[in-house]
Amino acid sequence: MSVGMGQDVTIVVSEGVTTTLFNRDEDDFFEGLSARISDLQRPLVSPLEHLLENTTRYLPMPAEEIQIRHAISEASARLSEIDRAAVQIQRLLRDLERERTNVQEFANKYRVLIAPVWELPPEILSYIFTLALPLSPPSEISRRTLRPALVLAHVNQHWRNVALSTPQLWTNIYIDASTLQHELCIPRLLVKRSGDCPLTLHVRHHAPYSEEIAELLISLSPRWEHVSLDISIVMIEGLSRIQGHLPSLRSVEIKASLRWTDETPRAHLGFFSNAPLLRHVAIASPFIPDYRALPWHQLTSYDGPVSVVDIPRIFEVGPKLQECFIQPMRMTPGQILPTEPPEASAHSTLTSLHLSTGLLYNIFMQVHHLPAFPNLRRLFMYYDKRVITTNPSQTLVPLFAKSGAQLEELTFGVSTDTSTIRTCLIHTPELRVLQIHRVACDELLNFLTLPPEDETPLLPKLETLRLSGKVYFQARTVIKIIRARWAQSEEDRQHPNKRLKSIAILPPRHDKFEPEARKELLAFNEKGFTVVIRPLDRAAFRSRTPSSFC
Amino acid sequence: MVLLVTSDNEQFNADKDVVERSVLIKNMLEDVGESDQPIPLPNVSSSVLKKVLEYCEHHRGEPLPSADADQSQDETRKRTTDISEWDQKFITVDQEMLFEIILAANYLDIKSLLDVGCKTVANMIKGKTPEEIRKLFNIVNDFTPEEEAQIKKENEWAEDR
Repeated sequence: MSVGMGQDVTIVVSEGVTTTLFNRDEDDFFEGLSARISDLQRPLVSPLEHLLENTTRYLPMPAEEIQIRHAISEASARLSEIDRAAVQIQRLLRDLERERTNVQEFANKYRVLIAPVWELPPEILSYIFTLALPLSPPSEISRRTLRPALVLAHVNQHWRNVALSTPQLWTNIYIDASTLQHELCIPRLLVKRSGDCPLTLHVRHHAPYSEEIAELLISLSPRWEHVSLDISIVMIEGLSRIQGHLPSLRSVEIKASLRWTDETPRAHLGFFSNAPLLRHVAIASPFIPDYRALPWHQLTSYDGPVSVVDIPRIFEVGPKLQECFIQPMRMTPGQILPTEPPEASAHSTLTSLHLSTGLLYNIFMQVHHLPAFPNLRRLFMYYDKRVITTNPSQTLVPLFAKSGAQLEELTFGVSTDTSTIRTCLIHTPELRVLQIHRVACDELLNFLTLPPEDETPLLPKLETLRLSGKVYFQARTVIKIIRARWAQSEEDRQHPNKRLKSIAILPPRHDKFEPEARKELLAFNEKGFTVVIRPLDRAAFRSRTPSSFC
Repeated sequence: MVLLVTSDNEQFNADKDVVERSVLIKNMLEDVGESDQPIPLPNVSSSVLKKVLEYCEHHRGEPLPSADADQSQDETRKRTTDISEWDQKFITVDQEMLFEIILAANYLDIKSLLDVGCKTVANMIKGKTPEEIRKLFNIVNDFTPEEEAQIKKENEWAEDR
């Protein structure tokens, strides 16, 4: 390829193919072009120009009309010339654009030969591939989870070879009913590619029983690391041989389609009882046959139903629990609530407790039987509005008195009187994030404005306030809180209790504020204080990380 | 001070505690003992060594991953995610230099620098389609029709349904 000044511009696009853009010397070419444009800029003159200065209507003489028509025709000819030149230049630009693409492709072909990526040895490329995967195991595996690995294997032969010999890329195995139509061929292929690596398995099979799937799962049990089973009772019964063969299992999730009832045989959870590394158990089912079957002594996280009677007990048998997401089960006939306090008076590892329930009576009776959680940082309490909370000062308040000292995030959605809620909050001086669900009213919110200097304020470190569920309060009450707790001026910033930075109002559908009040609230955003008003995301509200929705 | 000689015969003087972030150089120094002998680095050019020394100088004194670090520690090192702000700025170089730094870090056995380089490339790959990756790294699609058929099958399977 030769490109230079003072010679013909010729481009050899590929062997034997030569393109010449223009056969002139480049300087001459641009000079010619410039001269041509100058020529087109030549002023048009007419001997009748003085007539244009006349502001009154002038009727030209016949001889003048001939001259006028001549001037018009000269202008039309010039326009045609300009259009012709423009077409030529546009054609030239198109030619140049096309040639640019050709030259680019030409260069790319050669760039490939010395592309720096080729210098990487396979072991480093393989390491890069593992880093390109999502950091932690996906919370939910689907077929799509395989995508990142497939992309790497679909670049070229070399990358495919490296990807196929990088077992860590293929450890997410998804098996569902429709997989059977393909005789498990892709899952088996993935299992083969994953070498001896521990596996993350998601099995979704609601049909009664598949021996093929059961056999595959059993054969892989020594490699189970994270497992999600959305399978029928019969299927799980067929997995009995996994017991004692789960050396790598760290987490197990059992989904709703596994419908336990009071009559369900109790052995199934026992399959996991001696998995030495098991730390997390999640059960999405309204029933648990027998909580004792789980290896509580080693669990750090539990997400599932617990019988009301057993709620305090799980903290006795699970001394390492850090995170608990409990859905209390209804009581069954014959169960008796304990009246004595729990044997263990304190549980020091628990940092996150999530208690939520639908229609369930007398849940409150268990709350005060919980041990003290001196390191509790996050608490989510949500009871269905039909749950009656009687005698809360003997039930709810003791929970906060024992475990509220280090609490940083609280979601509170329990129907009780305002004064009880206030008393609970007195015990949470470190709270930074408060969400009041469904029970926020003017009276309660008034407690959140700052009292006179000589009184101790409620929640002195509060930074974020969320008010969700039906709006039983006035916008002006919220405005009062903002004005009291937001450090707007430099002087305010020295105030130890003015730390509020944002308020979110999350009604079920629409708020019922007057337009003016709403406008006044949202106007704080322009001054640097965050106000959000939008419908509540219910799914996020009930999730394990309720703070993620705001 | 330690004298290093690059593949293009340039000499670099650097503090011992800086160059000892390289396990290779550390081992070499331990092998030869106290000596003024220059250490040849035939696989590293001067422009790359300059960058590597800049990195080692900045991270001087930080704890090195121990040789007998267990697998979980190793895993944490890899997984502790993001590249620090300084490292990110440091590694903002053209592709050729980026890959040269990775190769040099691998050769000199500087795990943290290898991680920074590899994570940078991994971040460049994340979220891209095969075609975009090819374009990014000047890679040609050289699959045979049979391989293309297998790829199509895999892609079809990976569709959610």
